[in-house]
Amino acid sequence: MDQPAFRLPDDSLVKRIISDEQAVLKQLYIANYEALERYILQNSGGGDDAKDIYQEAFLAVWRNIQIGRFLPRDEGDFEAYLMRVGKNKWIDELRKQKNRYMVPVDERHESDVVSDERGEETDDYINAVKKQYKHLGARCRELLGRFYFRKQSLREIAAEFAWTEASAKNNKYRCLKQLRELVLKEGVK
Amino acid sequence: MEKKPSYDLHEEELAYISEYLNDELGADERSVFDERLRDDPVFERKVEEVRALLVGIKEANIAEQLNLFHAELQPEEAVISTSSKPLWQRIRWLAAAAVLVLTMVGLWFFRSAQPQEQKLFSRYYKADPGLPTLMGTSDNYEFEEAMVDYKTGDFRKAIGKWYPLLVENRSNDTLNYFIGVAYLANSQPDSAVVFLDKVTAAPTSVFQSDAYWYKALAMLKQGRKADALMQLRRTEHHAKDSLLNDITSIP
Repeated sequence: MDQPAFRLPDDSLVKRIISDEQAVLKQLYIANYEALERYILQNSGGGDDAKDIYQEAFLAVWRNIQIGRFLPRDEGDFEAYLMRVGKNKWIDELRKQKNRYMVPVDERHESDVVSDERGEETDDYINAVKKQYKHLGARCRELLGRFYFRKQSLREIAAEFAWTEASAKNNKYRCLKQLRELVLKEGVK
Repeated sequence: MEKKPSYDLHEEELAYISEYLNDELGADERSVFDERLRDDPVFERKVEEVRALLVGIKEANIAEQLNLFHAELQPEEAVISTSSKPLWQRIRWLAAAAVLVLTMVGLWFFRSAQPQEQKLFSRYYKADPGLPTLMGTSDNYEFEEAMVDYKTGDFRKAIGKWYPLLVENRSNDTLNYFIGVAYLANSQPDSAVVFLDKVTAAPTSVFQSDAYWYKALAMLKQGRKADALMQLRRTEHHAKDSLLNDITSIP
């Protein structure tokens, strides 16, 4: 899997996105919505289309940053890439809806297409994890979400669930293992 | 990574790799790990798999957050936050005025595009009166303070106070309901629908019938006639049949 081969400065945008700083994610989400919405509304879409496509694009860009496929230098870089991915997704959507107006297509989707086979396998695996995550028990979802996404410490989590820190740690690994087993059992694509 | 990995990944190793990827190892442990990663291709594949596992977990979580981010979208915020364009900052009042004019033109255009739905919305919409406030010493002090803002028509302020309370009670039907109706009262039907959705999804909520009613109105305001009808059929609001009739007679 492709990954950044160097250490990033702690305050870089990429680092902050990788560590899922909620404030940064929210700010990026809010700051860039309107541009894509305008494009979609001008190209035969509605408000719901804009929201769905934007969210898909936002997640795709987020994932590409997480696995090092895309390293934005700054917010402007992020914005340009997000717009490109969003527009491409909307063009694909319009292609699917054959009876609706088509926008002229003159660009290749170089931005969110993964060229190598290994990259595709990674995407399939991540998609399978997302799907199986819903089938994981509520407690495991909560625990993994708090630890890996909300970055709560094991101590905080233990207090929340009335566990000892050691059992919080054990439960976390048990949940990871369970999730992996679900993914492998159901097959990756 | 292979569909069915040819290697075994024991719990201890899964734990070890996840600690590396989550930056939980000390410097010495890290360099031992890095060395093994360079020399052992099977180990490298295991690390790739666990990395994808962790990215999947985070992505599942962030996907759940997006609607909350979306609910905070405000036209002026979205347009003015152009940090890479300092010229805009220098003339930000002019820009703000231009945004206001554009928004109003946009609203006018949107309204004139769906006159029938808008007319019906205006005829039937009456803001939820809110809950009685006691302003006692209860735990609900913040909630009630926001309710006072809501009742005095300061919907944005009310949302601003209710919203942080959601962090601890994401599925709380009372909070979701009032944030939803406050957004609608503030002419933000898209955000209203996001929050009212959570109330209608909770079958035991006392706000369920009203949530369907306001969701139907929000959708009407969005010009989504068919969706509004579906919501309306589920409410027990006294004006349900009358509005159903009126919507179905829109050509």
